[in-house]
Amino acid sequence: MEEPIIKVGDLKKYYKVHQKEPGLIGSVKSLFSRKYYDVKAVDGVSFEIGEGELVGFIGPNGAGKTTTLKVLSGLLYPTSGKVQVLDFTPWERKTAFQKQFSLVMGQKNQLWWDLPAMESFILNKEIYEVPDDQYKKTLDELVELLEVEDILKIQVRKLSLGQRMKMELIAALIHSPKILFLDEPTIGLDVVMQKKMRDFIREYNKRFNATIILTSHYMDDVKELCERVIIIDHGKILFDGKLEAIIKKFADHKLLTVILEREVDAEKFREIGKLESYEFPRAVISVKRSKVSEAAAKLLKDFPVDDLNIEEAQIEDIIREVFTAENVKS
Amino acid sequence: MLKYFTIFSLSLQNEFTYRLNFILWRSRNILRFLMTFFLWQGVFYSNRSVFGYSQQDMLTYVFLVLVINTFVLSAPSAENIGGEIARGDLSNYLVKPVNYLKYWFTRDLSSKVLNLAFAVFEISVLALMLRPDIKLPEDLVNLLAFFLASVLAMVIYFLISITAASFAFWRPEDIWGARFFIAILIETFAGGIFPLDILPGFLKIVLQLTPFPYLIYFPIAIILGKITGITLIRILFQSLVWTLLMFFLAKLLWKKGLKSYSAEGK
Amino acid sequence: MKHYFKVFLALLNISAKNYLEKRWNVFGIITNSTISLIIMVIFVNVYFSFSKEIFGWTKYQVFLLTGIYRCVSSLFYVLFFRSINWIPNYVQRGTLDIFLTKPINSQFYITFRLTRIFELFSVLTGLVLVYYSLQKMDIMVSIINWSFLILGLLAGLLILYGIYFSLSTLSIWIGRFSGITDVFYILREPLAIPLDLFGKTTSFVLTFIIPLGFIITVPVRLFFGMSPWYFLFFGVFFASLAVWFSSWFWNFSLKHYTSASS
Repeated sequence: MEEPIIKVGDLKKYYKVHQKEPGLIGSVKSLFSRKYYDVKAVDGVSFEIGEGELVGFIGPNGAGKTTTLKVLSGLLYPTSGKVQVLDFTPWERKTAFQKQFSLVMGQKNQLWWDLPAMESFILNKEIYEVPDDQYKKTLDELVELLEVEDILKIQVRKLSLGQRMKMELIAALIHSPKILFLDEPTIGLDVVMQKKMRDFIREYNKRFNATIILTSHYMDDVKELCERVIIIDHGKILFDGKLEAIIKKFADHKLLTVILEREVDAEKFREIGKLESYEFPRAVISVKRSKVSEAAAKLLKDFPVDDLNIEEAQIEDIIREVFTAENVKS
Repeated sequence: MLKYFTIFSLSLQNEFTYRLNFILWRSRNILRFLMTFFLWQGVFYSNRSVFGYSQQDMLTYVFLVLVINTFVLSAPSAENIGGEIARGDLSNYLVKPVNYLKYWFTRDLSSKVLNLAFAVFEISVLALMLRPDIKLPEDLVNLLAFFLASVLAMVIYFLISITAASFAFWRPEDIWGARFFIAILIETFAGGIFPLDILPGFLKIVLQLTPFPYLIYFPIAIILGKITGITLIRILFQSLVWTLLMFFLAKLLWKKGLKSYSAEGK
Repeated sequence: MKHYFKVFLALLNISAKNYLEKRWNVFGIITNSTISLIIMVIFVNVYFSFSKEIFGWTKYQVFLLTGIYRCVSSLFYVLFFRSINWIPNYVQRGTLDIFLTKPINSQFYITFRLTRIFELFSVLTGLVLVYYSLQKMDIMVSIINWSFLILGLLAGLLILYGIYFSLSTLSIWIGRFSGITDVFYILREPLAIPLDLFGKTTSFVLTFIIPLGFIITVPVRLFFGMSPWYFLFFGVFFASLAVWFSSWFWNFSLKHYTSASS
């Protein structure tokens, strides 16, 4: 593989938080003394990412995803560890480095509220020193890709959440960054907008060969977008690799969905495998990988089957298994 | 009633969290007091008596301004209501079974209690250092009148601030303009910088036609024994009139404001 | 650097447009400044109604200083006030993070982000008072004294900036720092009148220990020839110190911010 553009070696980020007891007495106490305890946001994380990759950091809230992203973009000083992004040390925040990446954090917007988004784009153009012709070209491309020609001149506060997100993206991409960090990009969006967002990310990655790292706790983001997934929990990486590999490694069963012609006693399904759900005419049975063909054949032979479907287990369930397995281990 | 007590208690806790802000606010008041005090000292350098006030008298007056300020002109409601309307946060409160304005008045009260508690300390220190000559009237009537005037002052101030805050219903972008404007008026015409009786006759009358002098000047004048007899009753009566006037004005503005607020579907 | 100048212009531009979006604002400034001015005039008149001179200052000299104060204070409003005021907001909402990823010095960007060019009108009201006082005093002031005044005031503006910016930086260390505007008023209020009026010790403390005196009082004293010429250099010294400190403290605080938050 060619030289990776992001290298992270044993990254650790700990910080202190203080506790306060509730109630009036607690408030007075906290005036005089405070108790602090350590939070291990990131606890020994290592990985490498190559140019043009589209990687997803998946994990529950508080797993350390956002913290890792912040270290990569230079917002946080690590407690220990080595990080190189585009041959720069992120937290030195060198201008040459900052011109090459962009950070978009779901709820923190950078657009000027009372003005049309256009104004914010122009400001960014000046800040990132984007030459006029490149600016125009990039702007046109992004506007076309996101379909926002007619709302460019409308004040940001009057736009819907979905429209605003689109504008935030343009503002973030106007300087054609090589790396794009997206923190929870689909949070708060409706189903339609989520899909549009994913389509855009995929398209942008393909068209401009930009390296994209996104964090999410939505399974669908992972499913639709990322070939490579890094699962992180309690500050540690549980898995780093292709999505298919996770499924193969952690999912030891598949799901058989049957549509029945007539009612069947639920008990009978026990011969085939574990009955996950049964609501006539639909039944879902989970079967060990190795026994799938055998089970399918038996279903077709012994049951009044109208239709039969074989699927992978839900990613959510698989990943949940990954978490519980690791937690049991540690 | 219990719920208002809980609000009171939570509000106290809240104030503790922002202890730094509280200290800053107190410092600002003390600084004001010191500034005014030193300024007047300059005038008395070459003059025995100014407008009928000796240096001691002026010191006493300015000192009492500090005291009155503590519980009349302090109100978190003044700072916060406008913002809550402008941001639409008001909606959160409208759905709760608590009257929004009563809620803020309760919070104000808790803030005033806290202020008084801390102010007692700082005022004692200042009193020891500067020794103002405060002659408290033995007259029970005067004390009662002072108490009444102060209570009315607090209420009037509350009503003025919520009136100013109500402008946020129509002009949410510019809550600071109205507040600033009112603050300037209060600063000058409530008697916080100089005792209002040094102004020429007609101005004195004009001022009584505004709610401002009842906030600071009159309560102080009463406790200093400068206003007695028929005048005392008249002033108290005017205070009451202003309280009622402001009450109705505030009520009207809020009614209209809430209507337009809900009409926007917030 | 040309880049910074261009960004500055772009920020002026966007701020102005933003400001115009709220039309009420313009009207608000005009009324507020005019009223503030009238009140100042009343107050000074009341104050000087018994003495011609107090601690070495005559009535019209004080008027002049008040006018100058108006100008400087308004200029501060135009350039820095709102921007610095918002720092606690940026810290609380996390917007500071976004600024830190931008290829531009964060202190510069934050300082000039929210200018209010229309506040220049208030400067006008200050100038009116200055002109009026000069007429009434009927004195000749040399070019040198004028330049002392201008240079002194520029230094003063920087001192005010340095102090206020540093105080606002405290919001990185303290949670909700809504008292920031109170801080500004605390700093600003004494400046409206000659600090000498506060008496010898106080004015010494406020001039050399906390260099507030160099913001308005000393430049105006230089103008009237009341202070020796080398006081200008003190002013410049304090100005450089203030700006340097604000920058140092800002970077120091950012270090804390980037290592203590999540």
